[in-house]
Amino acid sequence: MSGAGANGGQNGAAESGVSHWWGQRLTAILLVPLALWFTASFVTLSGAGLVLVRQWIGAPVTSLFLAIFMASLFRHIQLGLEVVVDDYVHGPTHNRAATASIRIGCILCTAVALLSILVIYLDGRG
Amino acid sequence: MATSNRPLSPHLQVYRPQITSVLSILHRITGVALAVGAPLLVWWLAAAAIGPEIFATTRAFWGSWFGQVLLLGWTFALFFHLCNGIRHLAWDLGYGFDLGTATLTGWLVVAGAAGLTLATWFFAYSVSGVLS
Repeated sequence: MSGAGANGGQNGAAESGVSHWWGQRLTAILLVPLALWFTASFVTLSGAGLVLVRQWIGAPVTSLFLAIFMASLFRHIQLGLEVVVDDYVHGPTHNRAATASIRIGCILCTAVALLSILVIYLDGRG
Repeated sequence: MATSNRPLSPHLQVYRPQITSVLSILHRITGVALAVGAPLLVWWLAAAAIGPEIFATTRAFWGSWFGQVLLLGWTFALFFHLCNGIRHLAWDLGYGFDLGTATLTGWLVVAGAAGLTLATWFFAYSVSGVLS
């Protein structure tokens, strides 16, 4: 199913396809409450200044939930975009290049998000 | 590979649009749109971590008419993808697959996404500036 990982195991897509399918569903289930919680909070903060926004992000429960939200969101995005790429981007070179860009982009976004949350959390403690 | 002239799936234009097929492709379109928007959430978090100047810039951008139109689009995309995603998860468990139920839940998803979008923006404008 996914370009680069499809032939990794001996059973090919019979293994990687199933874990791809499960990963998409498990992150979806996590994202239902997290996305609703985030949207409600984000909307409540509309118009708020930096001090209040940092206070919200840096609260222990918020920073934990935000970290889980960001990690599952970008995992879900990576898995979803890989399916789209496999449907529309044909030819092994283009397919692999597109899949690699998606993975790199999602890793970078996750890393920057987690680091930002950590910085704000630590600043709130110290 | 000698595959370049083969008809490739999915070729949607040969089908008459129906609520089930339209929502299926909308699920994918909103998913891609949300993937495009997600890095902007990271920008928001990073701006809050970096400092007041860059945070003021992001705040001004989201408050501009262009930022607000984008946010409105993403709000609908989020609620549509979320509601229709729940419909997909129900199908994965084996529920709601007959044609009548799939049509009904499809319209419920459209109504739910529109209602949640309106409620969110009504709430946003009533609380905006209350916290500052």
